[in-house]
Amino acid sequence: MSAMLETRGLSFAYPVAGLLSSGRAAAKALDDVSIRVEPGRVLGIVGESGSGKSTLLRAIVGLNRSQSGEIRYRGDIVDHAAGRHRLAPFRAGVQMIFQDPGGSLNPFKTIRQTLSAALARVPDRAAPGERLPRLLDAVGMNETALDRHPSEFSGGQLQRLAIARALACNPTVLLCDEPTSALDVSIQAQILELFLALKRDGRAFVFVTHNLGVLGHVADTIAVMHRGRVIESGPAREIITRPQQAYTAALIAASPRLANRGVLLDNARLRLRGTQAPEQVPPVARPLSAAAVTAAAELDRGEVLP
Amino acid sequence: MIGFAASRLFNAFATLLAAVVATFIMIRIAPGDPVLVLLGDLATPDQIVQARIDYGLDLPMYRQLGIYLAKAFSLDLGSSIIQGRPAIDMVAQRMGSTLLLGIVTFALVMAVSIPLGLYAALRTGGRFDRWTSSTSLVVLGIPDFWLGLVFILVFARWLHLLPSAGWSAPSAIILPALTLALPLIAVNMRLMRNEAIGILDSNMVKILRAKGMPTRRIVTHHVLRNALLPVLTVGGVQFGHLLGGAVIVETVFGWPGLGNLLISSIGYRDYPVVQTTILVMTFLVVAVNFAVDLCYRWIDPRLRRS
Amino acid sequence: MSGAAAILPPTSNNAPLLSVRGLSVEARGPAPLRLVDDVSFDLPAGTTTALVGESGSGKSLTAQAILGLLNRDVYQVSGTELTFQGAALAFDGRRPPKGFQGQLTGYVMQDPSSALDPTMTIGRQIAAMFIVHRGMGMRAALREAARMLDFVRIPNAAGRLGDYPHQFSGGMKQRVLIAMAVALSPRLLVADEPTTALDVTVQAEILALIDDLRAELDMAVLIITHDFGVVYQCADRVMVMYAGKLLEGGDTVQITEQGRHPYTRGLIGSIPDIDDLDRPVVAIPGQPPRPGTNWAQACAFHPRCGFTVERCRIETPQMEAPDARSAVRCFEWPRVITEARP
Repeated sequence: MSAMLETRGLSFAYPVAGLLSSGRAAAKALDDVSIRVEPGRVLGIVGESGSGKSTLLRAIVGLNRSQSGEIRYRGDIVDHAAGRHRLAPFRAGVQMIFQDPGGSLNPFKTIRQTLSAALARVPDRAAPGERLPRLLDAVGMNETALDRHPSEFSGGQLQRLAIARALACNPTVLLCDEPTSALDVSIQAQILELFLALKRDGRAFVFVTHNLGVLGHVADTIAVMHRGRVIESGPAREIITRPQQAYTAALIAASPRLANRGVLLDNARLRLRGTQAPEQVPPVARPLSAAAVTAAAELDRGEVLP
Repeated sequence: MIGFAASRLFNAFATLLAAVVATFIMIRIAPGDPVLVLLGDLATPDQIVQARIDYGLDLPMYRQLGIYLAKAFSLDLGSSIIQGRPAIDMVAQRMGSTLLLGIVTFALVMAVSIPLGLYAALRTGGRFDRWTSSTSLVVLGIPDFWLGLVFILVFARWLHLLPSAGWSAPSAIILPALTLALPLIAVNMRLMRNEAIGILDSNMVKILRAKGMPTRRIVTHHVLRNALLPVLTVGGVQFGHLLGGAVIVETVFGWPGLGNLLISSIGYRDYPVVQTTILVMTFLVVAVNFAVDLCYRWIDPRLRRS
Repeated sequence: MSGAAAILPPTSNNAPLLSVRGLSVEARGPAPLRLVDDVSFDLPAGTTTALVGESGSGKSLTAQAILGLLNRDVYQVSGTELTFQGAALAFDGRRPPKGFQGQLTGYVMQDPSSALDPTMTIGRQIAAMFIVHRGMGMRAALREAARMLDFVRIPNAAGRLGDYPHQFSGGMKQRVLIAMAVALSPRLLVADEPTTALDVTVQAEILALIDDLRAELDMAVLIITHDFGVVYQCADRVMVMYAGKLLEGGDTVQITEQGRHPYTRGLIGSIPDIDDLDRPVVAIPGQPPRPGTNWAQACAFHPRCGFTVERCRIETPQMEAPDARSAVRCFEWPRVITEARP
């Protein structure tokens, strides 16, 4: 299947500000990152803070200056330096959803105003009057929401509305940056259900989160990021049940779980007793020794690291 | 730290230069001629031409500016056209009284507004808080020249408590300082109050209470210091205004400061004196802001990284 | 009032360290909002108890009310009994007795960045505990502070005393907060979402640290969280809170595996389980009620519940104790355990 969205060798470094040194490159925030996601698929990107996972999304939509590498949307190279007009299909087709659901909704406008403005960006024969209810229906809300302001909604409802705003452009790719991290678990589950339903429409998702459990349930493929690099990627189930990298295994071992009581704390104690903090794991994409792979697999079954 | 000092020094220099050039041009564009003021109505055209040549006023403006800047770099700021004395001497003579008034006012403002603001915050909604919040609005609505005149009327004319003008006695500073300070106290007190209320409501104070810290210690060690930051910022700007902008109050009280000198030398179109006064005022403002920055760094360790 | 209703969870053999009966918290105002409603429980010494609930359930308010941290101009706290180590504490908003805050109890909260004073060195912030409560001089107190930083496993502890909060990572700041909270070996540590803002590996380390400190200092730990995975991994006992009320409580394993309340089951069912990728994530329908909603005579969970019967709409269920280790506030619990799959 051809990729809906793809990056090849994407690299980026935040410039270091200073009197004489403006533009001096710091450590790379993105280092040779290549990902791809197909229609109807969810690519999960997991990593801890500073791993570059959010920077990757920003790079894709062109919020970083002077990045190197290639971004392809539906096979065509996306040139963020190109004019508005040429970028229009990409801008409408790739939409972002953020962790803070209120952030993408103007607090001074009603939901009707926000959604109508978003709908107006894409030509459609149907009148906005018909499209608004359809849009709200798609995210599990109804028309009573239209004439209210963002402050009148709970976090989960706001995230639904933010998703509705993104869907208004009829995007083919949704870039989601920790979309459920600020929500309670019961609401997170609702939003995950919503994503799974939208995925069935053939949209592609890039789903960035620190929660591997979430990705285990929504992602088809997972890329694990560490210090700006993709250190491991593959089918979601494969990554979670048979991680090849010690870092991935550590992430899995540290995930709160409802089985093997006490294993979370025991693993953490073991890791602390060993000299390596997870930050110090070398971010090199090297294959692990057979013993380490077995250890990682055991970790996943909840057994204590030998 | 060295980088910080260097960049600030550069900024200060640029500010001074811009102020000098702007003053130089504006005073020359304005109608009026120092030569006519100097020679009076009876001067012959020949005398006027000769005087222009003597003072270099016959040259095109950019050449005058060039000569002025070249001399200024060797610390020669020219002499008064009207009095013939070096302009810097005239300014230096007045600077002391302006600085004195500025420092006394600034100290008065800080000494009054910080404790009162803190007190109002500790008793939010109390009688003192309500009284000061309504009073401060009234004070802010009063123009300072009118306030000054009222003070003169009450304290000098009716009560004969304080001298009304000049600086014959040390007590002469009280009325002009009070006139300048009152509106600033109103502003800073509200600022201090609001900052302190926000901090008293913060997680930081919640943790301090959980640590069992006595309220007195929480206020003196933590609330005061944290609330001071914005007050200090505003105070720095205000101090700058006091040094440069006390013109009206100086006039009302006949205070022999820079403001008074500036007004009279503008009246005479005494170019060198106007320019030197502005230069010195700008220098004082820049110096004060630099001092505020240093204070800021001292209070807020986050800014100490160079 | 619950009257003769069961206490949650039933008192263990040891005398409880802390007993709370009928705790209520109301937001003052023209129309007071009841945010915590008739909460009763015991905390035994030396064990970890989790208080689980979603945002707005009143779990943080409950903890802060017990510790005497609520602003009395904003909240009114009331109840029938609050005893700590056998001594009664007042509900009426007066400051708790000297030594209760800081010496007998410690408090750690989410977002350590906003909890530390940015203008003061870490060393001095910890040393304050020894200066204020133990009357030590600055030098001795700083030595103790270094010992505490070492105690919470901050590398090069003595060398970091002069650092400011912004020079620490989020996880390290949380360690500093814990160091302050346990500096005087309190009997009770309340940790209010201590790991919510942290990465998973750091979260696990902090939770392990808290558990080690609990064992070492024989403290009771009350950990507040919204993550049942965290509860299952590190708490001996759990209490589930919803709309200001406790709905269920008892032994962690029993409640996680065979919860009697539909809300507890819903919470667990909505967790994306990393160990069972085939188990679908099932959401609880609807939204949590606005804090302070007046349910009059009804179960607060009934609009979102799959087991609702007519009685749930017209009568408030009371806490009952089906066995010696747990309690539940639901009319239909026998039906829940037979019909629902865990």
